[in-house]
Amino acid sequence: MFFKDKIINRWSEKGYYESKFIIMDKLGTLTLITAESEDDLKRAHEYEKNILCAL
Amino acid sequence: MCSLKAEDRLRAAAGRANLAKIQMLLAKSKDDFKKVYEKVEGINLEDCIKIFEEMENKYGEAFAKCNMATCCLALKRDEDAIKFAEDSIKIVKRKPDEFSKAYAELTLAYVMMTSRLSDFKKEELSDEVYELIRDAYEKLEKIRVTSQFTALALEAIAKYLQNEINYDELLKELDGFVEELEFAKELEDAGDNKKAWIMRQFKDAVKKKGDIDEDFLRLEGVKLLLA
Repeated sequence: MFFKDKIINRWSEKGYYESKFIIMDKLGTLTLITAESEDDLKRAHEYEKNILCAL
Repeated sequence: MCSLKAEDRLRAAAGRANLAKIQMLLAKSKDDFKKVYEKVEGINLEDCIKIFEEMENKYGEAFAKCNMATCCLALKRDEDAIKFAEDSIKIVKRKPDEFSKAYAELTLAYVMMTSRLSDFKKEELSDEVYELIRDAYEKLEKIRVTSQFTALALEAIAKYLQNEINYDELLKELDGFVEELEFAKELEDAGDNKKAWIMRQFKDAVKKKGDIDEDFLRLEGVKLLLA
């Protein structure tokens, strides 16, 4: 069983996506704030995009 | 998007507004700025503004409108840029957050200066632009945030455009801001690194270009507002 399935079993699908959203949101914000290169910005871009996908 | 819960719609709007900011920081051409308008997962910047308006999230609305103003300026939609920047000032005018007010003031000052560059060079508009920049600087200095160097950089650019300082003096000023921001970064372990990086990128771009013209202000200079 994948980690995702385990979380869904334990906390429901809603719980999984909410947790994913919160983690992505924090990762996106921190990566953007601490960005020191274009690559960092591209990573922040991916996290922010994933936030929208997680909703 | 409408099928989402209110809380999730707000999250989506905040996420899309942040994404727009990153897209603009990564933009290399006018076409890249056009992409900022496109929908990502069914939501674009205009939707963000509508959502913030509906939810009465004033700071979110002001932030999204500043982003919109920046993007419109890059795309030479000057009337829209001024309208969005003025709107965002009106929204935060009676709010307690000094940072949001300063951010909106700097955006309007930059939009006015760039969209009417030839008038600004003839020293028309000077009073309004400098007043906005100085008001923003005072607010940012009062709350002790490193964004005060963005205000100082805009003032240096304005002075250069009006021939009050020359190219070498401008570069020297920008060098000084980069140093200050690097120093501030070292003082705070988890500080805001991107401001120093953006300022350095801007300084390097000025060095490479050898001058500041209208296109440069629209496509490169706007990134200072996003720091």
